[in-house]
Amino acid sequence: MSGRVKKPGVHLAPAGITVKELIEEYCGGMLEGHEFYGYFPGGASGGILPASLGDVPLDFDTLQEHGCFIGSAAVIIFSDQDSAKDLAINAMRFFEHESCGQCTPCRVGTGKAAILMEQPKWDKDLLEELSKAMEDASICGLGQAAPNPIRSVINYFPQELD
Amino acid sequence: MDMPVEKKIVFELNGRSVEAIEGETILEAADRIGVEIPRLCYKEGIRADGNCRACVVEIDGERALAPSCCRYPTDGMKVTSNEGKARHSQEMVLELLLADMPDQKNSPYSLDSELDFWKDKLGVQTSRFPQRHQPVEDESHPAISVHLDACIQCTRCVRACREEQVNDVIGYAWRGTHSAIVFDLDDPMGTSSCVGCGECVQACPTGALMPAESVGLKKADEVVPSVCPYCGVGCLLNYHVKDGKLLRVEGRQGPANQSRLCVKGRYGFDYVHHPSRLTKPLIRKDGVPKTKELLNPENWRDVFREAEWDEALDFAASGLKKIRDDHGQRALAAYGCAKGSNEEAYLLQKLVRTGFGSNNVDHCTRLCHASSVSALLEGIGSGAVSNPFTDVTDSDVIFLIGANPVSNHPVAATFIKNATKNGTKLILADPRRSELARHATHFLQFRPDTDVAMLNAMMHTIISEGLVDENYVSRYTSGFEELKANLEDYPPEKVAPICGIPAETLKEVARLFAGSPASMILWGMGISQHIHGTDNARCLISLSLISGQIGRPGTGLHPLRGQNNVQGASDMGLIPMVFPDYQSVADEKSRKWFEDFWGTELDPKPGLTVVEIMQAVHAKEIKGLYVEGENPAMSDPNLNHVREALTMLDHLVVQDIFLTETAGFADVILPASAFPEKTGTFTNSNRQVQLGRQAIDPPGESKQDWWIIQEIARRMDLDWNYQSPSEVFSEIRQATPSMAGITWERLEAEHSLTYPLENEGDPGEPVIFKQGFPTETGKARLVPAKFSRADELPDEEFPLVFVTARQLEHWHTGSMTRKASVLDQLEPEPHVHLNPGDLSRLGIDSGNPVTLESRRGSLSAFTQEDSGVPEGSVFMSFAYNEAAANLITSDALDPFGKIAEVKYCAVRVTPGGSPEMRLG
Repeated sequence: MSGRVKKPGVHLAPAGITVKELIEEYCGGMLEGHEFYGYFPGGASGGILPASLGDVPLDFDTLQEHGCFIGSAAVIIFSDQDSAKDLAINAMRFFEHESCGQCTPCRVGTGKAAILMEQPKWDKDLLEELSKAMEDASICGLGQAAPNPIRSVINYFPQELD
Repeated sequence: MDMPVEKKIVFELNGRSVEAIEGETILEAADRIGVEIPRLCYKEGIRADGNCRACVVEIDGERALAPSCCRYPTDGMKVTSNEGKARHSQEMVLELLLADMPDQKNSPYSLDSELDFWKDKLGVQTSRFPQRHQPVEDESHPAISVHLDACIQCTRCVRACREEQVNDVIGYAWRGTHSAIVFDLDDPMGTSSCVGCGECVQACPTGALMPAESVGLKKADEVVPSVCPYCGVGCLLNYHVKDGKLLRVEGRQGPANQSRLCVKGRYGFDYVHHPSRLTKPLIRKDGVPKTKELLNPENWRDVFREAEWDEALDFAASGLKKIRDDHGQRALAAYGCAKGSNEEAYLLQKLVRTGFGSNNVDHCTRLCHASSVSALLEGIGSGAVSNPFTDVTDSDVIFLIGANPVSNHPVAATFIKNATKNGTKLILADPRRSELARHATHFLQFRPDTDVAMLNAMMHTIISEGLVDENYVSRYTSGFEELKANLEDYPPEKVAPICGIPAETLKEVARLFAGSPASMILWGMGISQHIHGTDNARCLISLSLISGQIGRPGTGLHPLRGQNNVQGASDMGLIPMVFPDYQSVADEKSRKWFEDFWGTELDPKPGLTVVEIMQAVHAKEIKGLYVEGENPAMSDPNLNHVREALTMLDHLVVQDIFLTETAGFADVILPASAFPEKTGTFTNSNRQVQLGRQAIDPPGESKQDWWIIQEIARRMDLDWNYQSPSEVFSEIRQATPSMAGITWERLEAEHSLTYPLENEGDPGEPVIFKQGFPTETGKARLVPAKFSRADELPDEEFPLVFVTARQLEHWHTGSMTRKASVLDQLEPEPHVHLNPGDLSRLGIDSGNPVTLESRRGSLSAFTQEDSGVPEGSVFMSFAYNEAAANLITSDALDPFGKIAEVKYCAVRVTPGGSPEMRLG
């Protein structure tokens, strides 16, 4: 658990637990003055979910329908003082840096996606076209999952894009 | 017998049922049936990597798309390549890559960028993505421009450099969007360890790597398939011609090169357009004396005057004729050339034998593999290789001795490196540590001159440890007992202190060689250029025979032939002892056959060899010499003696493309044609007869060599009327039974045919001696060899050993390569290679000049520190007239091959001195 919680760190919790339970029961609640706004359920790649989906059980195969996955179960909590869009850009810059550079969709795609995401107004259609190719045609999971933050922001945090 | 049935796989591609051949990828199957799938990182001949993702296809039931270039179809698989997810990703990949091209447009560096081709095909005209920060250009290499702003990072260059050529220069560095093609540790290409083979340029799909000076943007008028003019590898290539000039060269699929080339073949072609080409016949002015000093070609008018062809030919022929008539037939001799075609070689030897009236004709094979050939003829009845060098990829063990193929047979070396990468063990034996040593499992840096002792010790082990293939020996060899008796004197423990290799290592490599399923021996001039060169080769032949390591794919004997047509010139009888196809001039039956065939009486006495001819000039026995294409004033040992001989000739006719060091001594110079200016057949080291086709016209009034030889012949009363090289070739077929089945038409269609090919339609035999040998008994002869020393050993006065070697960028005497702009830029001056220990003992800093002296001559050149050179030895290339290595060398001869010992003589090195002025 990391992010805007009182007790970040490694916690042992049962599979199927929800993020709200994790925050309250394991992490001592949100930091003072911070209100739960959203979370990365599984590391940088696992997508971003809003607080409204804070009751979804966290386990293998429970997050697919929401466009996310549990991955490493490295959960990142963010608050009303954060921007999902900024966090998504940060994740994309991370993927760009982590990409091994072997295949075009990931090597070029992560870099281009990051630049497009930094524009004042997102070209959502183009980002979706790019996301599709990255997901379908990248060699490994890094490139295939790299579009998750883009899609999560478009799906769950549209207010930040207006 | 049941033939193996080729398995077919039936799958569905874009709704259509397709039969794939087992082992074929989806992409290959699609190509075969005409379904186009875009691809960028895929190139035939290079390992498929699947990184660009332009060729992705959708396979029913799979979440992610699959790269069709490295995915194999299975029965019932449903594949879609032309719509939906697959097409979307294909287009997106092209659009992403287009974003990072200069101006997001077509590649400005290539007329046939594959990215441009596929984006147009798929209708991707613009990119909606922002452009990357573009890297700067790198123009540091004389032959190759690097414009990574057009790089799509497909890594074809990386695979070409590391996996095909195995030069390991190009790498793919860093990560993500920072990923970049780098040379060594991100050095400029020109200062990296790049050897300039240009395989990366040939592999690059966008022109990011391209020939320098924007050559890639010029469209050729014509592309002429031909052969490389340099070494015995015999790479096939294409000449791109524009406005009657060579524009560029690219590798072409051939059995010996698989489209690969080296720096000489790819970038060393513009010598043909050098301003100093001879374009008009020249006759020596009356009263200009011949002196030992070389003529500076710039001052040719001081010595020569221009003449018309008729006058020059009359002058050349009448001079020869007069000597023949006044002093007898054996007063004339000719040097032919291993750079010329089979047709030229055939005509020249025929001219000497039927027109001059003697067998005094030889060529540079004498300085190359004459001793190997004499040992091979004596031992196994044939002077040619048993297997092509490409067979090493089928070998379990390669034993390479006295050869530096990375420099001298670069493309053959790539196959050796490919084999070692694939698990083949390489035993490399050489006094000098060459680049291949890093690929070797065993590197034996033995003392120069101790080959026989070392090889005998290996055979001693094979016999004493019971590793002899007794079945093979009894069935296919004779003389084993004599060999065995001789080998008793060479236990490894006794030989180790002589050759400098520990006894245990000698035993280990002997076991490895004899015990492997297939071991191949390859050798070069480190073996042959000794007074015991024939003995050296005898040992290699015996090593192969007693181990039964011959007569199958991947195992046999391969002396790496030097010149592009040294095999062919020898096959044509351009040597003093034999007619075409190695039929002895002394043998009554052979001679009778040729007397009938040529309709004239022939001299039964074998003629003089290269070095003997010069000695006979000094003895006033030879008075007239016709030199076609050779350059003895640079290439022959003991140059002071040779150049003096050249001044003593009454009549010297030189036929060449440049005013060579030798031509300066001539009475008449006949301007000839360069390789790309002529058509003819050339036989490489693998016995592959290949068709060189004329791509451009000879400059000025220069003429085809075969025409010039014929004009001389006619003026010496021979009734010749050949109309073309193909007509000469028809006659060669009749005189050369092993090539009798090769037709000109088939060569035109198939480019390369391997002899023996006795009957029309035969496939040709790459691997020979499968069932014994072409000797009278059908058995090979094992010939014992005793260890003996070089003619001139180091002593107090001359304490170091001088060894001539060659270098990648220069060919032979440099007459072509030093006039090739790229090669000359890469290696402009001579260097003396010395071990760092010797340099410090002599008090010389690397790069400072030294003077070399032997009992025969001296020279000065700059030093180069070379830790691969053993202590006590000096290595030098003989391509430089300002410091001609052969001034130093000895003309002591091997008694059988009559080859000179240019790999060993005693020399003294002193600090200081300055190189002479470069001529030409």
